[in-house]
Amino acid sequence: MIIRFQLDGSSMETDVEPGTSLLEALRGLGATSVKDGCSHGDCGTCAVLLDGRAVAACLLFAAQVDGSSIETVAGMAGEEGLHPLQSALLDAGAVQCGFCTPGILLTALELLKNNPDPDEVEVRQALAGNLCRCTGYVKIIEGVLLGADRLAGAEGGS
Amino acid sequence: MGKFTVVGTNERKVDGRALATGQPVFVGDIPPREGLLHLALLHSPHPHAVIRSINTSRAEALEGVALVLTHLNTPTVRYTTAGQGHPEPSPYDARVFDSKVRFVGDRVAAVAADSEEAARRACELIEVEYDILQPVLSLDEAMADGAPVIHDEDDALDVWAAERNCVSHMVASAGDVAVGFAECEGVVDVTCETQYAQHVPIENHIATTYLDEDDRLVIVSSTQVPFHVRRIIARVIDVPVHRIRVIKPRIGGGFGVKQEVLIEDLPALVTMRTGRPAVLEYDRAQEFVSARTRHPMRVRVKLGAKRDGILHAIEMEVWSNTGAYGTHGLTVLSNVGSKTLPLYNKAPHVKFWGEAYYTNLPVGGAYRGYGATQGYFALETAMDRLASELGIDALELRRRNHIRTGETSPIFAALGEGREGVEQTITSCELESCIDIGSDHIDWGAKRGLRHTDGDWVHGVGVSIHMQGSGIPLIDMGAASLKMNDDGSFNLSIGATDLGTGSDTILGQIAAEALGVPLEMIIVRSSDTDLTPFDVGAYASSTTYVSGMAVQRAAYDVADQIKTVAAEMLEVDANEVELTNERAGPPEGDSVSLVQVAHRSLYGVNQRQIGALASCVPELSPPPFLAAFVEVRVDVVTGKVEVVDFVAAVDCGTAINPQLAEGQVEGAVVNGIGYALMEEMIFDGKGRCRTTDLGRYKIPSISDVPPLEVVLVESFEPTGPMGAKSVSEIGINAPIPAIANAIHDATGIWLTETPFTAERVWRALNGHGS
Amino acid sequence: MPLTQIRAFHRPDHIEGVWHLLQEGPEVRLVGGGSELAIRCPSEVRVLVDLAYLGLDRIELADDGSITLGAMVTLTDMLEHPELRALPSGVIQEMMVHVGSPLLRNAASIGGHLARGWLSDVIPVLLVLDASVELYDGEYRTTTLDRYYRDGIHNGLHILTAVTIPPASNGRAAAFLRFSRSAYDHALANAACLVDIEEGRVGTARIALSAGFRAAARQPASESQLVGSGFTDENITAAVSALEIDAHSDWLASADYRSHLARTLVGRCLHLARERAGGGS
Repeated sequence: MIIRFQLDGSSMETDVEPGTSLLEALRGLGATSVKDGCSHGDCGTCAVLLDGRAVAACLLFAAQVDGSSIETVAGMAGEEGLHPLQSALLDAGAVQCGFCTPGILLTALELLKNNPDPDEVEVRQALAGNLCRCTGYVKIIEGVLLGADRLAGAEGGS
Repeated sequence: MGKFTVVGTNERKVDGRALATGQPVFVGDIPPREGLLHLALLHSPHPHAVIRSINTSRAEALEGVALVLTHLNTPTVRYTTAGQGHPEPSPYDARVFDSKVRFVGDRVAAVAADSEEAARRACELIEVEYDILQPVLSLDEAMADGAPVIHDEDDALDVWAAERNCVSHMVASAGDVAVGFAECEGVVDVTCETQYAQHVPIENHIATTYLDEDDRLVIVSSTQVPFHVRRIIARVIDVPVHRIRVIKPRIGGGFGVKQEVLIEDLPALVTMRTGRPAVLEYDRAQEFVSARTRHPMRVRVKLGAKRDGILHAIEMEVWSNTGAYGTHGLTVLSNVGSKTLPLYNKAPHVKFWGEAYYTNLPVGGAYRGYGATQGYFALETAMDRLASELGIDALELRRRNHIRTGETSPIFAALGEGREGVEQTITSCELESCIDIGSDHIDWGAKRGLRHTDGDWVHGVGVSIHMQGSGIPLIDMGAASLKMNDDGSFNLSIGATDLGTGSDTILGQIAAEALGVPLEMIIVRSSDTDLTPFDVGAYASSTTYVSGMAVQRAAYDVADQIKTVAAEMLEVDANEVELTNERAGPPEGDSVSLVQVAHRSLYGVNQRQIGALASCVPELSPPPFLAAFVEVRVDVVTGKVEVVDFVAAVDCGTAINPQLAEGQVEGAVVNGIGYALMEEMIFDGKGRCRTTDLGRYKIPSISDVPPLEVVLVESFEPTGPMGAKSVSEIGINAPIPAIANAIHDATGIWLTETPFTAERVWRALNGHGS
Repeated sequence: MPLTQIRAFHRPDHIEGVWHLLQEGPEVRLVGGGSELAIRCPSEVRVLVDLAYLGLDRIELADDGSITLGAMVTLTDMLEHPELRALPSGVIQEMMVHVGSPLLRNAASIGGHLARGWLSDVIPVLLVLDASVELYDGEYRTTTLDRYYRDGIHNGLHILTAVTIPPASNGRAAAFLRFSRSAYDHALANAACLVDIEEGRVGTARIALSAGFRAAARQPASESQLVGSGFTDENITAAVSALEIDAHSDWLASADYRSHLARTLVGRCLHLARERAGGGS
C-alpha cells in the first residue's frame, strides 16, 4: 500500500507491505538514525517524533502514519550546526556508544518542548522508556538539564 | 595535575558529532550491497541431543534461498569462539556446526536467502530428527556421579576432564592454610551463588561480509577484537589471513559479549561459497538464548584473622558453570581469585582452588568484571562477617588489611589468567584516600548500625573495596602508528577497539599531549586490520594502559623526530626543543610551527615522512582501586531493596579524560546494581530461557538509578601512559557486596544468592533462608 | 522483519464498516494506537483494521460531570487532561506516570489497553472510579468495566468505543499502589481504592487489585467490611483479611508472595486514602 508522510520536513511516498512496522519502513527508506535495539517496544532506540510526540517506531504499523509528520535525529542539526540539545549531551559526556542517543535526543526534545524547565524527576519520567547500558544515565540527566538551560538561554537572548 | 594541557581535560569524543547526528556509522546502517544475502539461524530446541538426520531439501527449494549450511557441509575444525590471543587458553570444543547440540539455542543450521523472510521461512522447512539425551541443567547435576557427559567428542582440545564435565581446573597457594586457620582467633566461612546474566549491549550482534574489488573477504563486524576475528576466522573457514580484512566501525556497546567471535564465521562462509555479500544480525531474543552470558558461580571464602583483625589465612573455592562450551572457562575462573585475593595481602596463608563445569545451558563468556564480580560477592561479604565476629568496624577491618603502594602479594605471581601470574609490586594506590572520601560522603560514622526507620523502610549502609587490573601482563599487546601531515596534523592509527568507551578519544589525547597539539589535529583511525597496526582488542581493561602506552611511545618517537628537524631549522640542540601550542623550539627564544616542520620534511631538505610505529607488551598490570559506599533502604514488609545513595571513589591513576573515566565507572556501577537487584536469566525445566526480551529481563532504566557520585582520586602510575591505569571494569564489582552488606546493616540478614529480589529478601526476613 | 502474513490494512471511517470486517473471523484484528500486534501478532491474523478514522479520539464532559473518553484517546491525553487530573486524589495521574513510558503512553489508546484485558495499572483505577464502557457489536451497548471483565465480555466479538467515568462527589479519597521488580516494569501486583466518608462512617468503598497476569477485579467482600463502618485500623485489617486473591506462581513470583503483596498494597492504599480523606476514623 502507498503511504505518504513528512520525514524531517521532506515529503515521502512509499509502497509498504501492510504488515510493515514504521521502524522497518523508516530504515528501509535509509533513515538509519532510527535504531533497532529490540523490535519489542522495550528499549526506546527507535523513538521518532510523530506529529511532535515521541513514539516507539517498532510498535506502529507504517500505515498508521499516513498523512503524518515524522521527525528523526537526522533532522535535528540545522545549518548553523548541532542542535543545542545535541551539543549539551556531548558536552555532558552523555554519549558513549551512541546507539541509544538518537532515541534519547528525540524523547528529550519532546519533553523540552512541553516543559522547557524540567527538574531531574521529570527528566527521569520522560526517559523511562529509553534504555542505555553504557552511561548509567548520570550524564544523560546532566546533559538534558544542560540542554534545557541552553535552550532557555537562547530563547532569552533572541 | 597542571602539567598536562590535553590530557586531564573533558574533550568531546572524537566520534561524538557523528553519533549525535545519527550518521550511518554502525554495521546495520551500511546500505545493502547488490545481491546481499540475509542469514537466519535454526537453533536447537533441545538442551542435549544428537542430530540423527537433517533434511534441507525443502528449505533449499524455497524461492530466494541461496545456501543452507549444516554440520554436513561446513568445516569440522574444533575451535573456541572466545576471541582471545594465541595460543588461546579456552578449550577447542566447538565447531561451526556439530552433530551434537548442547543447549537450547545451539546452532543447527543456517540459511542464506535474498530476504530475511525467506531465510526464516526456509529455517522452518528444515527437517531435523534428534536423539534426545538427558540434559545437565545445573552445576550440581554436572558434578554428580554418573552425570551425562556433555563433551564426549574425541577431538576436543584442552578440556581438563571431559568425562566428569570439568572444563578447567586451577589451583594456587602460598603458605599453608591449614596451619594458618589453626592459628586464627576469628574465622568465617561463606558460600555465595551468582546468577546467569546477560550483557545487553543495546546494539545486538551483527556482521556483514563481502568480497572487495580484489576478491578479498571483508568482514565488517560489531566486535571488540577485529584482529582475533581475522586470525580465528582464517583458521575456521580455511582462508589465509592475507585474504581477509576485518573492519570494526562504531559499535553499540560490548561489555565482553562482543569479544566472542560469535557469528562472523557464517556470513564469511556464505560469501566465500556464493561470492555474494551476506549479513547476519541477532535479534534481542537470540542475544539471550544464543549469545554469551556471565558465568554463574558458587564461591566459598574462608577468612581467618588474629584478634587485631589482620588477616592470617584466606581460602577461596570456586565452582563455575561455563554452560555448553568452555569459552573463557579457565580464565574467568582464574580471575575470581587473581583479581581479588591480592587486595588483602597481609595473610601469609592463601589458597585458591577452582573448577569450571559444562552444563546444557547457555554459554558463559567474557563479561565486564570477568570473575572478579563473582569473587568479590563472597570475599567482601565475608569481610563484613569477620568484622562482626571480631567486633571491629567493617571499614576499620579493611583499612588494616588492604594492599598499599610498595607492597606485593604472593598471589600476583601464583595466579594469573589461566596460568601462573606475574610478580608485581604496587606502584600506585590511593585506596586509603578513596575510603576516606567515600566514608565521608556516606556519613559512615553516623549511619552505620543506626538502622534509621521511615515507616516500613529501614536504612542501612555498606562498603566494599576492590582492585582489578590493567591488561594481561606479558600476553596483551597493542600497537600504534603515527604520521605527520602537511598542516601539522597527525594520523593516529591504532588497532585498539573503541566499543563506545571513548578509547579513540583518550588515545588521541595521549598523542596530542605528547606532540603539543590540540586534539583536533589528531585524526584517529582504529580497528581495521588492513590499515591499522595490531592490537589484541578491547578486553581485560587493557586499552588505556596497554594501547595507551603504545600511543605514547609512538608519539614520543615522532616528537623526537620533530625536535630534530626543528633543531636543524633553528640551529639549536634538539634536546632543548619542546613542543607546545603547535610549535617547536627552546622554551626561551625562536620557534617554528609544526606546519613549517612538516613542509621542510615533506618538501624541503632531508625529505622524509615523520612517523613512527610502536608497540607495548606490558610487564605489569597495575590495578585500579575503588571504594564503594552505599545506603539502601529495605521495605521490611515486602522485602523491596532500594539504593538511596551510592558513591564510588576510584583511583585510576591519571584520568586521561575525567568525564569519560567517570562515565566508565557510572555505567559499570549501574550495570552492577542491575546484577545485584533485578537482572536474571531464568530457565524452565527443559533448559529454555524464559527471559528473552527486555520486558522480562530487566536492566536498570533511568528511573532505577539512585543518586550516584563517582569521585576520581588522582594518583600517578609510573608505568602507565601519562600516569594512567585502566578503569572500565572495576565499578561493576562493587554493587553486589556493598548492597549485601548494607542490607545486613539494615536488617541483620545475610544474603548469599543474587539477585536480591524483593521476594528473596522477604523470605530471608521471614526466616525461610535466602 | 515485516509481518508478511498481513494481507490488508483497512481504515474504515464508520463503525459499521469496522464491525462488518470484524465479523469475518479471527484473521481480523483491530489496531488502536501503538500496537502490540506489531510485535506479537498471532499467526492467524491476516487483516488489520485501523480505528483511527472513527473520530474516537475525543474527551467529552457531560453536564452531570461525567467524562467520556473515546477509545482512541491516548494514555498521554488522559495523563494531561485537567478534568481527569481533578478526579479524587489525582489518582489517574498517580497511576498513569507508572504506565510504561512516554513512548508507550503517546501511542497506546485507552480502548486498546482495556480491550487486551491483561494485567494493567489502568484497570484497577478505572474500576474504583466505577467506569463503564461502551461497546459496539452491531448496536451500541454499555456495561460497567467490572462486568466487562467479570462476565468475560472482553473476550467476545465487539468494538470498545468509549469509556465513561461518572462524576466524583466531594469528600472522596482514592489511592493507587503498584509493586514491580524495577521502575519500568509490569507490576507483580497492584491495587486501587476509593472511599467516601460520611459523618465518620464509610459510605462508598471500592477496592480493586490484581496479583497476576489477569486484569484487576473488584473486591466486594472486602468492600463490605468497610461500608457503614468507621474507617478504623481494625476495619482496614478486616477488609484486607476478606480479600479474595487469585494469585498464581510463575517464574516472576510465587503465589504466596503475590498474595502477600496484594494484601500489603490494599492495606497501604486504604491507609493512604484515609490520610487523604483527612483522618476519618
